Amino acid sequence: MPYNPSQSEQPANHTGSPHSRAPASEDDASQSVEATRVALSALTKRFDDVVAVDSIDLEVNPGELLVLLGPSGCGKTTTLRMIAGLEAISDGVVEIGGEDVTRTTPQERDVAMVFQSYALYPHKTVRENIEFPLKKLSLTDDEMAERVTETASLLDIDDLLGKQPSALSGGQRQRVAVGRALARQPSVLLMDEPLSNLDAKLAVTTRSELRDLQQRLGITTVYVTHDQEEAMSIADRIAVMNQGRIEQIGSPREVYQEPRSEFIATFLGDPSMNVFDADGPATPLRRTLTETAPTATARVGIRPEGGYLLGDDGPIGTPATAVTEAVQCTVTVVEPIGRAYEITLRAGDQQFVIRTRTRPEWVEADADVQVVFGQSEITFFDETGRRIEDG
Amino acid sequence: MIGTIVAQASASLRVLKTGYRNDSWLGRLGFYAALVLTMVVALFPFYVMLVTSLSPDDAIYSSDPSLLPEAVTLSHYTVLFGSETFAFTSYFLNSAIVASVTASFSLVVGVIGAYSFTRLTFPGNGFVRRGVVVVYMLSSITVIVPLFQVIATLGLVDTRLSLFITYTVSTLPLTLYMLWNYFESLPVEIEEAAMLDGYSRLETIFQIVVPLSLPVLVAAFLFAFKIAWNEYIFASVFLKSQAKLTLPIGIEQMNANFQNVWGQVMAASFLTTLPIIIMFLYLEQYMVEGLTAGGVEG
Amino acid sequence: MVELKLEDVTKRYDDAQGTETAVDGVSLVAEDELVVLLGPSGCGKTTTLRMIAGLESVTSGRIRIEGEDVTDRHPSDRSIAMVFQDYGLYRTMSVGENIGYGLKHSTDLSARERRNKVDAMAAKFGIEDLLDRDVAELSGGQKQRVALGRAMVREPDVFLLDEPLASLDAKLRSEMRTELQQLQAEMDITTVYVTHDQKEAMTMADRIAILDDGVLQQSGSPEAVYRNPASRFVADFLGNPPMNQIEVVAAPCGDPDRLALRCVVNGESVTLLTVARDDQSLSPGDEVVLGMRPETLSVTSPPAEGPGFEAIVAMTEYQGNDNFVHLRLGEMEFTAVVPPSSQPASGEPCRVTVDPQEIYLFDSESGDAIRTAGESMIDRTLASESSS
Repeated sequence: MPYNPSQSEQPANHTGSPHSRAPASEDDASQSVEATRVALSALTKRFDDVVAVDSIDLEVNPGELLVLLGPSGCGKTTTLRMIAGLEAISDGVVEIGGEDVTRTTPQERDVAMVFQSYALYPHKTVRENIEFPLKKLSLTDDEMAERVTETASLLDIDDLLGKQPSALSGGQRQRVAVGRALARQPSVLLMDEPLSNLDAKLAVTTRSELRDLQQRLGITTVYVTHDQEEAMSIADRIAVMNQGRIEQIGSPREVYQEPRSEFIATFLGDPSMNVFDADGPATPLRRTLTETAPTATARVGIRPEGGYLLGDDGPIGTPATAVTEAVQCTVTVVEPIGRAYEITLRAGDQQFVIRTRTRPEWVEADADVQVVFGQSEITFFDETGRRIEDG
Repeated sequence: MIGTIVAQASASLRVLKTGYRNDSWLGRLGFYAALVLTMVVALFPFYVMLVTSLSPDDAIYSSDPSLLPEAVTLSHYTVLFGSETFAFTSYFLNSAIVASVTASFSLVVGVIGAYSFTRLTFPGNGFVRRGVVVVYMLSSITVIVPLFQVIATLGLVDTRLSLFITYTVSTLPLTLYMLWNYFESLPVEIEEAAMLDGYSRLETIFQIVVPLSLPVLVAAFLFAFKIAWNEYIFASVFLKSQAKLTLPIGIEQMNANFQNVWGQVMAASFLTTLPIIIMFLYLEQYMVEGLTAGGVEG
Repeated sequence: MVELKLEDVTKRYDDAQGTETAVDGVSLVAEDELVVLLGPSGCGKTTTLRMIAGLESVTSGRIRIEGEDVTDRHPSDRSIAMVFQDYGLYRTMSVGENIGYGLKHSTDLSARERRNKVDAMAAKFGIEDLLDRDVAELSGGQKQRVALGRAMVREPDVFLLDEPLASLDAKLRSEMRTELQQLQAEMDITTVYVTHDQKEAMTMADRIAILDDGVLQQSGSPEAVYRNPASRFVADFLGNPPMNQIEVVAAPCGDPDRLALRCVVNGESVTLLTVARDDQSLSPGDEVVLGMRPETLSVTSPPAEGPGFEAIVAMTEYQGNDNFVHLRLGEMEFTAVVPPSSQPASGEPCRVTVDPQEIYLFDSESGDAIRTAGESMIDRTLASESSS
C-alpha cells in the first residue's frame, strides 16, 4: 500500500510535543500573523527523462515547521523550489492558503525564502536589503522604517544596518537573510539548508534561535536539510524523502522510533542503526537478534543505544525493556563524543556500534566484553526493506 | 602589454616553482625591466604623434628628425579649430554622437539579449549564441557590399541612422559575449531572491543584475564606443556629405586633399585619441572587480 | 615512524591596515598519529596546515619532518600529500589518471608499475569500477575517495587533510569519517586534519590541538581535553551542546565544611550547589565562572525537594538517542542532556541537580581553569601509565 500522508495524524501541536514552548513575553505576540496552510498534491517534476520529484502529496499545517529531510539528490530542494515558484511544475498542484498557485509566478505567492547561500544583494546595505521586499508593499516611509527596526531587533542585527554584506561574518549574513525574508511578513517561509554554511558550533546555536523565532512568529515553514540531527531538533514534523518520493511523514519521535523502512531507520540517528542480514551462518549475534523475528524478516536492525554492556551487576545503563541473552564481543574502537561514547564491537566477523553514556574502565580496545540488547529495540525489515510492525 | 604578460607569467612560474611568493631582487629587476620595455614599445607611437603635432612644420619636414622637439608650437591645433578649411569640430561632434548612441544601443540590447541567453531556456538558445560568436569572427569588409545594398534599399545612404544600425550590429556580438560571460558568473539565487521579494523579471534585471554588472557594463560601453569612434570602412562607404563625416574619414580626407598637413593630421589624431583615454581614466573606477563580494556564501 | 614537528611557527600578513598575525607561535609534534587542528573559522588552523604543506610561507619558526628542516622546501620536496575541501581534482582527467598523476611526476615508475599502484589504491577505496570515468560524473563521496586515493598513492610521510568531509552530506560524512579513521590506523601514517566540527575532532583524533586567534590553546587526547580543559574557550568549544557557564560567587552556607556557589536570579541570590571547602581553591567572596556539562545535569519535573536549584523548561530538542532540554533560570539559559525517555513539559518548573564532582571552575577574569571534572581521571591515567 503506498503511503498516504493525508491519513497521518496531525501531531504538530499535540500536548507534550517536545517543542511546545513556554509562553514568551508579551511583545512577541504582536508579531504573529494568521498562519497559512500549504498543500501539495501529486506534485511532480521531470527534467527531460529524469523524475526528480515523483508525485508527492504533502500537507503543511498552519504555523508548523515541516522539514524535508533526505540525502542529496532526493528531490527535497526541487520540491521547495516548486513551492516557491522558482521551478516549473511538471504535474500536480501547489496550494497556499487554499488557493491554487501552481501556475503563478513567485511574485504572486507571498512566500519568502532563505537561500543556502543567503543570496544577499551585495550592492545594497543591510538596511536596503531588508527594505527591498518592503518597497513592494506600498508602505509609508514611517511604516517601512518601523518594519526595518522591528526586524532588525528581532534578529539582533540593529548594529549592522549601515553595513555592506561583504563586511559581515557568515553568521551575520545568515541573520540578515532571515531578516529580509521575514520583514515582509510572508504567509509561508521556505528555508533551503540555511545552516549549512555556518561553523558546526554556530549552526547548533542558530538552530535553536531559528526554531524559537519561528514559533514566536507562528509562521508556516518548510525547511530543507540533509542533516538528520538538525531535522530532529527543529521540526514539528519530518517528511523523509528518498529518490523523489516521501517515504514517511511524522514527528521526529515517530520517524525515529517507528521508521517505515530500513532507509529511514538508517538515515535517522547518529551513529546509524546497525543492520544485519537475518539469514546466514548462525553466529551468536545473529541467533540472539533473530530469536523473536517474524517469518518475513530479511534484515534485522538494532540502534546503537539499544545495546548494553554487561557489567558485574547486569546491564550498564537502563534498558527500558527486557534484554536478550549476552553476546561475547571484542572492542575495536572507543570514541568519546563528550556526552556519550560510541563503541565499535566485533562479534565473529560482524561489526556493530553501541552507544553508552558512561564508560567503565575495562572498556578499551581489544577488551572482551558481553553485550545484551533491549528486546523491544530490535527492528525487523522484510525483503523490500519495509519495517515489519509488531502484531 | 606583451611585456606585462611575460612578467606576470615569469612571476607565476616563480610562485609555482617555490610554492609561494618569495620575491628576490633579481626577480623584481626582471619584472621592472619587462615592464619598461612594454611601455616603450606601446607608448612610442603616441609620443611621436604628440611631438609631431607640437613641432613647427620645418622641424617636421627636416632631413634630420629629432626625438626631442626643439621648438614647441600650438599652431597646428589653432588651425584645426580656427580655420574653415578643416571641419574638425564638426567631425568630432559627429563621431561623438555616433559613438555614444551606438554604445548605448549596443548596451541596452546587449543586456537584454545576454540576460535571455543566460537565464531563459528557449529553443535555439545555443544555436543563436554560437551564431553570435561566428558573426563576430566575420570581417566587416566581407559584408560591406551586401550591407551597402541593404542600406541603399532602405534609403539610408548618407544618414547617421545607417551608422547607428551597422555599428550597433557590429559591436553587439562583443557586447553580448562580454555580458553573458559575466552574467553566468552572477549567482542566480540573488535574482531569485528578488523575484520572491515581489520584483518582476524586468525589474530584477534593472535593479539587481545591472548594478551588479556595472564593471562589465562600463567595459562593454567603452569597447563599443571605441569601435564606433575609430570605425572607418562603413563610414567611408555610407557617408557622402562633409557635414556628416566622422573623425577617421575627416582626418583621412584632410591628408588626401591637402599637402604638407602632417602637423595638423597628428594634432587631429592626438585629439581623436584623447576622449578615449579620458573616458577610460574616468570610468576605470567603476571597473573594479568583486562587486558581488558578500552576496553569497560558499 | 615519521615525526612532524612544528617549532614556534608564526605567520604574519602585512596589508594596508598593518600587520595581522594569523598563526602565533604554534609548537606541535605529531608522530604516527592523527592530530586534529580544531577551531572556529579564522583561528589559523588552515593557515597552519598550508604552512606544513609548503603552500604558505612561514614568517618565523621551523617545520621539521623526521628531524629534517623543510621550512623553505617546495611542497613537492616534503613527502607530504594533501586533500582539499573541494577535492582539487583535475577535471579534464579520468579517475585513473587523477590517481596516477602524482606518480608520473614524482617517481621513476614504469607505466605498468604505476597502473598496478593505481589499481591497488582504487581497490582500497572501493572505486576500482570508476577508474575510466570522468571526474565530472562522480558523486561527492566518490570524488572524495578519488582525492584520498590520489593523495595516498604516493605513500607520503605526512598526510594533510583540510576539512575533507565538509562538502559531503551529513550521512555520508559519518560513513567517510569511519573509513578515514580505519585507513589512517591501518596505514599508521602521521596525519594532520583540519576541521571546525568538534564531533569529527573528538571521534577521529588521537590528539586534538585547539586553536583560537592563531594561538594554540591546548592539545591532548580528546577525552583529556574534554574532561580537563585549560580555559573557558576550550571548554565551550568541545562538546555538543556546549558547556553551561555561569558567573557565581562563593559564599558560606549552613555547613561549615562547604561553600555555596550562588548567582543572582531576578534580583535574588540563588544557590546552585554546594562544594566541599577543602576540595577547592576557593574562599568565600570569590567570583568564579561555574561550568557544568549538559550531560551531568539531571532534571526532575515536577520539582521535588532536595539539593540543586529550580529552573523553567523552555523547550526540548529531540535527538533520537538523547533529549536536549533547554532550561531558563531568570535571564540565563542553559542546556541539559537527558535520556530520550525523559521529556519534561515546556513551561513547567523542574529541579536541576549536578554532582559536585562533575563541575568545572574558571577564573572569571582570565578564563583559565581552576578546577576541572577530569582532574581525578588524569591522575588515574597517569597512574596506569607509570605502572605499565
